[in-house]
Amino acid sequence: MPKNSEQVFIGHKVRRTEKKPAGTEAGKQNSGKRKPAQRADRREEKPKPAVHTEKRLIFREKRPEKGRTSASELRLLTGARVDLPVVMIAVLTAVFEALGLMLSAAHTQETVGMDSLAMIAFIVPLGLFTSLILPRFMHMDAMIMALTNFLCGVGIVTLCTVSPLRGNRQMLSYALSLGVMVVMTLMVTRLRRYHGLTLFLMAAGLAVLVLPLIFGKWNNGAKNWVSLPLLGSFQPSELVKISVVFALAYYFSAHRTLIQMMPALVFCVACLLVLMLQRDLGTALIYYLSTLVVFYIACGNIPLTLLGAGGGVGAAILGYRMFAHVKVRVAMWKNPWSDPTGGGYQIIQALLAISSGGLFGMGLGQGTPEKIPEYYNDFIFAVICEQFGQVFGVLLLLVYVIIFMRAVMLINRSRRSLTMLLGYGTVAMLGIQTFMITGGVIKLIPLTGVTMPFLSYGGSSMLSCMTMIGILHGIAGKQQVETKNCLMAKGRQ
Amino acid sequence: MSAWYSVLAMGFGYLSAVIILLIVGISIRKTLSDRRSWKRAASEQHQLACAGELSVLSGGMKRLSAGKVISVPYEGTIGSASGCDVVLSIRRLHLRAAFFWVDGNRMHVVPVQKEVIQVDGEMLRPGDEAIMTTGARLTVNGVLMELRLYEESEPEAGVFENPYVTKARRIQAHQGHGRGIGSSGSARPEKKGRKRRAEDSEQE
Repeated sequence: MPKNSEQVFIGHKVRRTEKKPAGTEAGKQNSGKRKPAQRADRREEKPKPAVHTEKRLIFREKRPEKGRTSASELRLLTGARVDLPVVMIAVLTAVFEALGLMLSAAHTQETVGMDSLAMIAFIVPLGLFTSLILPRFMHMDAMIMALTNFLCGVGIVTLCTVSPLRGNRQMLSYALSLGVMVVMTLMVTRLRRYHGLTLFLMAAGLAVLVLPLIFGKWNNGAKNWVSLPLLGSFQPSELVKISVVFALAYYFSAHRTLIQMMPALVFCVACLLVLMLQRDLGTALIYYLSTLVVFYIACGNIPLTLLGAGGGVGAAILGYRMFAHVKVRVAMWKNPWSDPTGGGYQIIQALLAISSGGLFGMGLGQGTPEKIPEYYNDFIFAVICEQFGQVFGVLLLLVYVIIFMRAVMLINRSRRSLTMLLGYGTVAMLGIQTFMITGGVIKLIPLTGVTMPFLSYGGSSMLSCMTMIGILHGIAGKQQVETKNCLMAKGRQ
Repeated sequence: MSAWYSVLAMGFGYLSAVIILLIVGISIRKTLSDRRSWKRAASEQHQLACAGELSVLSGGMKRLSAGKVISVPYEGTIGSASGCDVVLSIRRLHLRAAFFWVDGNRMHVVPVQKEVIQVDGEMLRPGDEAIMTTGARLTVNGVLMELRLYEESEPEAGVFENPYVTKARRIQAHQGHGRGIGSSGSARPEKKGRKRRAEDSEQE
């Protein structure tokens, strides 16, 4: 196309109008002001512009006319799109992980050896693959995937620095959980009938949840871990979260009455009772609050929701009176300095670690995180604040908020009540868990022994969190498939 | 611990703050722009959220004349109330006449009012479940509509899952007492697809 031509977009066609160069006769006629008398004479002489019409598909338009969706928007609606922001996040995550792991190797081994390079060669491509390549082949939300990878990367780098063995195990858990996440994504995207799956998950969930009562041992005032010969040690209450989410979504969806909702409510109450027997009150609180949130979203019945909330408050008061360790935790939340070497030691050390980190932290591997009991697990947020700073800690919480915000956006686009409730249940579980542990560490609420999603050490926690992310990807995928079906049908028409 | 390590660690701390700041900024910007795009696309292409459509064949109503096409979402209610998912401006139609949900290439309809909905000429009782495929005809208070679903895969074998119809009613249907309930028994109304209707018309 010549340079001296301008494009005018008309629907799917491009009309090209040729301009005469300024030096030519016609160009002179076109340039400069004309006198009114001359205008009438020259109107007849004015050469008509040559119009060439080319049939051309327009792939990029700044503002499409009303009623038409732009090509980029269609790509966004019908398929997972990996665009520049996602690429940038994935690359930044890779840089963070590579530099962090090299530095942690230098800290723990005084040199960057082959094993640390092997770790980098394992985790960095894995993160890039799941953020950039996997969403091209599967219907997933690339942004949620990239942000989740970043959170996992922060957890692994921190764990590799403060406890290398746990860091290596966490890396393996992360890789395995990604596989489970892919399976869950496919399941939610492809599955049409959830009845069988929900019943299976409920039965398996209850069976697994009872295991610690039979085979478990008391640890830190709770009996919520079980060690099996083939499976190793794991926390069943983390895995049962998936069952709870599916049960709530299935039985609360599609204009159900209270009686039809009963199976899910009975299942949740049974789970809560088992958790109370195990004295795993933190997880019980997560289950309870998630059930309440999903119930309210499903039926919008304020009196019944308030009744449920009242029941929860009553149970909390009962638990406070029944269990001695709950009384201690509440007392330590009120004033941890009343027993600085006993019950308040953990929270005091966490607060000291956060404050000693300052705004930008003491540096990776600096400080004394091992002074905090359970520093690699429940108190990983305090360790991160000490090493990376309070600014990093606040921004890390913002990353969680963005993931939840994005997930809610996805869920609100959902066209089925079942997938909508599945998504809200997932977000409620993850959100409540994040709030509870962060609030407990910074002394906003009484401390509950739950893990920080994606960051804390623990295979069960990582597995359940990544499975829930898989549910969110599945919901996104289902929408994309349905939109594609609809567009194809319209196209055929 | 050597001094150079402390310097590197501090440097990495500052770099981490910059990295996470960039990540948060980029993700907020992208999320907000996607939200705008989704909203815009949803408002302009509202039919993208639909599983199919109902074409009015005959009716005689002024606001629901023949040829009008009504979008059908994946689940919801049919009625004359503006809050329904499929609003039918039919005279003397109940505010909420039926529930429906789309399961792949089948649409399940369960009326909540009596003597209102017919599927392929078969009157449905409240609580009965009719399963419609593409080409099935729905009559609501005398207005005849034809269904077209966008997903055109082959129907799967097996018992249909329905969340609305009670177990007792399903058993009743299997025993042949029910009428129009979506079970695999003989009491289930026979739905005609496009091919079947074409064969019938050829025979005629």
